[in-house]
Formats: sequence, C-alpha cells, structure tokens
Amino acid sequence: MSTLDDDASVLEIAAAVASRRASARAVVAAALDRIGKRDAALNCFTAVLGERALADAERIDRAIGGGGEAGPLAGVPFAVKNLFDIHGVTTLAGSRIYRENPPAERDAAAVAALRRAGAVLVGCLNMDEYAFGFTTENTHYGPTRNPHDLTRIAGGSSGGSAAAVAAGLVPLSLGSDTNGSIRVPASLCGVFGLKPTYGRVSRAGVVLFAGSLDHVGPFARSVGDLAIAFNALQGPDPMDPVCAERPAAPCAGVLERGIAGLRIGIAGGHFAELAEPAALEAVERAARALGASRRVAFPEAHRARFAAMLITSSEAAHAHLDNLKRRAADFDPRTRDRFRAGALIPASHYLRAQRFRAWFQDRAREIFREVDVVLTPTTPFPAPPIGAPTTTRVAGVEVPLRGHLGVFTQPWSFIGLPALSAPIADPGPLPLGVQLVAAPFREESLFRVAARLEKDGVVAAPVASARG
Amino acid sequence: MTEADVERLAALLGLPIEPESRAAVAEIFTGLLDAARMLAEFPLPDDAEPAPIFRP
Repeated sequence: MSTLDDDASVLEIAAAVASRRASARAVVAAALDRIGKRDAALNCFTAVLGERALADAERIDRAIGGGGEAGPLAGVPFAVKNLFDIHGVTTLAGSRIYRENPPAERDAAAVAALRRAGAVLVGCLNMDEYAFGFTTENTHYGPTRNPHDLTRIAGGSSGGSAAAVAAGLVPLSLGSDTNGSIRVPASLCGVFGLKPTYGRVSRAGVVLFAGSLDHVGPFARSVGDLAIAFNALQGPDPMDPVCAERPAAPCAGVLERGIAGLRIGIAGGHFAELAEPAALEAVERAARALGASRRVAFPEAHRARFAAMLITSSEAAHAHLDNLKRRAADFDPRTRDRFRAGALIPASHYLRAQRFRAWFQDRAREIFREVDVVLTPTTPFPAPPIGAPTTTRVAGVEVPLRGHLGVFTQPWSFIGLPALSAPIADPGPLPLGVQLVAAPFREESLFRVAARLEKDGVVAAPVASARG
Repeated sequence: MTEADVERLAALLGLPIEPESRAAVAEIFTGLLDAARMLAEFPLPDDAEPAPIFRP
C-alpha cells in the first residue's frame, strides 16, 4: 500500500483504490485528518461525518478485496453543501430554523449517485442561508474564509463547497447554483465549478431556493476530476419534476478530443463592462490560447439579470413565506429583509420577467447556432474582504458589492445554459475564473475547451496556501 | 416607496414587518421595482410566453 499525496486528484485516488495500491480507509482518514487540522481556520464544514465515512470506506475496501467491481469514484472523499439531504442528518440549508427538522430519511439523488460510484461522503458544507447570497457570510454558522486569504470571502452561496476543494480538504464537492452560486465561489476560490444545463442533474432531496432557476453541480481541482463526477451525476430522475428525460452524456471521454471544429466566441457588451481589468484580461488570455477572436453580443443581457433578480426574489420569498410570517426573527439578518421585499413583488412583474426569459432564451438559441462556446469573466473582481462595505466602485461606477458578484453569471442560469468556471493560472494575488458557456445539454463542448486550456497551462487549480 | 407603503403591501399578504425593519425592506423593494421598470421599458412581442423548457 502506498500513501497518496494530500493533493491527490479524484482520478488518482480512484485508480489507486481500485488497484489496491491505497486503501479507501487510509484516503478517507487522511481527509478527515486534514479537515480536523485546517477547518477551524476556514469554517467550510458544518458537520463532519467521520465514523460513517470510515465505515463506508472500509466497506469499499472489503468489496474490492473480495473481487468486487470498484466504482469510477472508488474511495474518493467528498462533501456537500448543507442543502443536500443526507440520510440520518438534518438538512440545514444554512438556516437556524431547519435545525428543528427531523433527520433526512434518504440521501439526495446527487449524493446517492456519487456514493453509488464509490465516493465517500465526509461531511456537510457552509453556505448563505437558504442559498440567498454570493458570499457565505452566514450569521448563524460564521463566514467561510477564502483559502487563498483568510480575511476574504469564499464567495457563495456554495462557499464551503468551493473553499473545501481549494484548500485540499477534499478533492470533490457538490453545490447548487441559481444565479451563480457554484460559479462565483469557484472563481473566488480558484477551483473548477460546473453548473450543468437546467434539468441535467436531479435536484431530488435538495432544498430549493428559486425552483425555476435552481441547478446542482460539482467542484474539483482539475477538468478530468470534474468530468468524472459529472458523468456519475447525470441521468433522468422522476423524483425531480424538471429533470430532463435524456440519456446521460458522458464527458470524461471527450477531454482528449481537442477543440477542432468548435467555434469559440468572446461575449462583448454587458460581459465586458463593469469589471476590473484583471477579470477581462483573464478572458483575453484564454481567448488568445484558444485562437478565439470573434466578439459575440447577447442583446439585453443586463435586463436578463434584472429579470433573474425578480424571479429569484419572488420564488424564494414564496418558498419561505410561512416562516417569514411566523418567525422572521430566526432568519439570518443578512437574508431576512431581502426575502420580505421579494414577497411584495406584484405577480405582473414576476410574469413579465418569465416572458422576458422566453424572449432572451430565443436570442441565445440563435447566437449558439453560430458559436459553440462563449467566454466571459466569471466574476467582475476577485474575493472582497469579509464584512466589506455594501458598495464598491468598478470602472468608475458605484455598484452593490455583493450583488455585483453575479453580474456575469446570472444571465446564463436565467436561461438554463451550461456554464463552467475555470480558474486562470497565476492570476496574481487572488484567484479569478473564466466562464465557458454553451447551448443547452452541450456540456461536452465546455469540457473540451476547459481541457485544452488546462493542457496549455492557461487554467489550473493548485491547492491554496492561506495568507492572512 | 415609503415605509407606510411597505406596511400596507405586507398587510395584504398577512406578513408582519416590525417598524424598525420597514426602511430596509423599502430600500430593497425599491431596487426590485427599479429592476421591474427596466424590464417594462423593453417592448416584448406578444408571442413571448413563459416556458421554462430548455432545448438544444
């Protein structure tokens, strides 16, 4: 038996465990040890399931030792945002109120899918309350700290999921994304994050935030790791009414295919404004490496963002209206008044936003007949300090600091398009992501482009070493 | 949007909002109404129908 490095990838771990060069138990014990030593400073985890994880790992070792087939994720430790149901654990969704709920009776579909593939669940991760935020500055459970600089936010709402992977505590995690909640923390923490097409991955057993916009997806430190996890997560599920009845489209096998034949564009207009130069330069670096020069304009993208805000606020407030009426004092002060304002939105505004969504989706469909993948910044700037003021200046314009983090991610989740945030290599003091976007159910194109960028050294996600 | 407006709207929903929070809710709600105004200024064709179904 050999010992794997702490920063071993998903693929390295699964290969070592399958071939019995390493035991799943040793891999999981090492992950639990890292979490025990480092998470107090980072605050990624809200629960660590140590005994259960070790028992699962031993079961996998016994199965492989007995000649059983190792899954593609055999022995890979993973953790999930605490809005995924875990059998026997109360699902918090970042709230105090849900602490009173009984433990979940079964795993969420996405958790079950990774476990079926041999991965070992080691714990639950911090988030903005009910996923309403881009920062993971959670009043009940404390802020998650950015592994690259402990004085800064990890991004959100899946902040614990991004930070745990960036810090090397686990090589794989799950999050959810309504307006950017996978891609924003992936960018700020310097890891890969995939928001699949709406309906591609089942949300059964996930606490929804704004149901018509909610997605779930993985975080990892390499394109290959992200792809193998995405393979395991896909597939139809009657338990999620919006889950697409499409066969899985495995992506791990396409990474060597290169980008020949893919038409790659650079999003202009809205996606090239109100961003710091470093964020725009990250896109240009990726574009140069890919030989992409075509500028693509998505009309009315700024209005798409306004429409996404109205739909999100309205649906989210509706989901929590009973508790807002009965026990508003138990909400996080950072979300409470935003939920209440959302409850007041007239139905006509909500419906107009949904109609605009249909129009914008049609425009995007037309554009994606001409290009296969579009590049944009993921976030307009790197991670701000924890507790920063409510506004900041970007390109000479005052903007809401926290809300502006989603300025480039919201228009895509609004219309369900798959989007992958890839961390630019050597970005300077803090990480920044490049966002790759494709037509619905064309995740394969995203993976081919991301793999090429990774191969050329343009994007990379080394384990973070904290400052601060 | 005044605090009194917020109080009246919230009452229609049966949503109590304590007096000290009404100004904050009014400010956020004003932002949402601004977003709705930006959306209303765009002339949508009659055939733009809401349908959260996504096809290639």
